[in-house]
Amino acid sequence: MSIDQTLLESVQAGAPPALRLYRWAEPCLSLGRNQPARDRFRDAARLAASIVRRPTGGLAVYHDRELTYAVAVPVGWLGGPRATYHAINRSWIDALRRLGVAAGPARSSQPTARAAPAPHPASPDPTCFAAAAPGEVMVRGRKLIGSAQRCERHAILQHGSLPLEAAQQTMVRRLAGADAVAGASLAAIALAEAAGRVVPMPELIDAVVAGFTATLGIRLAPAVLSPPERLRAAALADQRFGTSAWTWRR
Amino acid sequence: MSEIPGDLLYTEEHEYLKRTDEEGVYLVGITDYAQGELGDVVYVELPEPGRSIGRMEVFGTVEAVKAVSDLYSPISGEVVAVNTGLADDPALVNSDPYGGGWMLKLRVSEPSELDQLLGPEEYGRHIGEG
Repeated sequence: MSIDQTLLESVQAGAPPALRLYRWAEPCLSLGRNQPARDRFRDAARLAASIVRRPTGGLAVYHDRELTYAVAVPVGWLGGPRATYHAINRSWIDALRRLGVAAGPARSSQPTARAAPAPHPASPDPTCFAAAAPGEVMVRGRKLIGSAQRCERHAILQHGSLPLEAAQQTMVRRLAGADAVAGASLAAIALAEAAGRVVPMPELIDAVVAGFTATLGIRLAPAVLSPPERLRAAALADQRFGTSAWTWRR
Repeated sequence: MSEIPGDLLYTEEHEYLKRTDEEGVYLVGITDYAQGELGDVVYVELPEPGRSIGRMEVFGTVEAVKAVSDLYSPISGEVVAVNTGLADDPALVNSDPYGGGWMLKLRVSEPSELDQLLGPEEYGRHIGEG
């Protein structure tokens, strides 16, 4: 989270747009910025997972056996927040189709295969993959990628999760019981099931790069955090994202 | 076309300022254009009454369909009250941005800053609807 926020701040200060792809060292539950969590997720420690709160909106995501992405762009580079959201999701759809996955965007007000409430911080179902917002990446009526944004004055951060295997059910089972697992299985899909095979990570990364470059008409160059960015990320972890005060703010 | 009331002042960040019956006290919210761009608002984070806010300082956030956006104060002042009704019904920001969807009641501390705000025609041109 600290690195994603750092990328947002760098772009806000004039740095080029950035695409980051990463995985988690251990299973982790990430909460939406405004998601009520104190009563619902304290027991999430039973998952033996760490818990963080994102700077972006939306609901809980269980990060395990998945690929996480983050995109930071200037406001207007891809349009406003909603245009940016749709452009990034189109890039993912392009990437997935290169892997043989028939992905498409959720239509306006489209329910997932299981009827579910709209994504809302106080939703009775606290998980991101329970419902799809318009434009989100779907396969056969089930949500494949969950994404959320943070918009600051001159830059937008969008990040999200592509489950590689069906790990969301683990969290749902621990939080809501076996009945909810069946529902979660219908609402969400992981890449292995969508593709009908386990996609090797190098192939997935190549497809993502190709999808984003073709859809957005850009060229991507490898980069690393600058020394000031590394310091800023460390400070953000220490002062915000790594603190109980932030994680349990609601 | 967005609604742009003729008796309000506006910012380029799509906030508005609305006079109240009390001298020097204004209501602050986001414009009809802004709520349309955001989509369905699901949560509004507002400051505590009594807090002092500087011009263009972030006073809260609004969440709409998983996008959290900062809210910027149009002018410097003290927060007199916040719209607690948005806790139960954040969709008021969408359905009634200039009425029930107000966010802050602000007592202006630097009246000269009002001169830097946009009138309705200027704001309309800013959003490409003028």
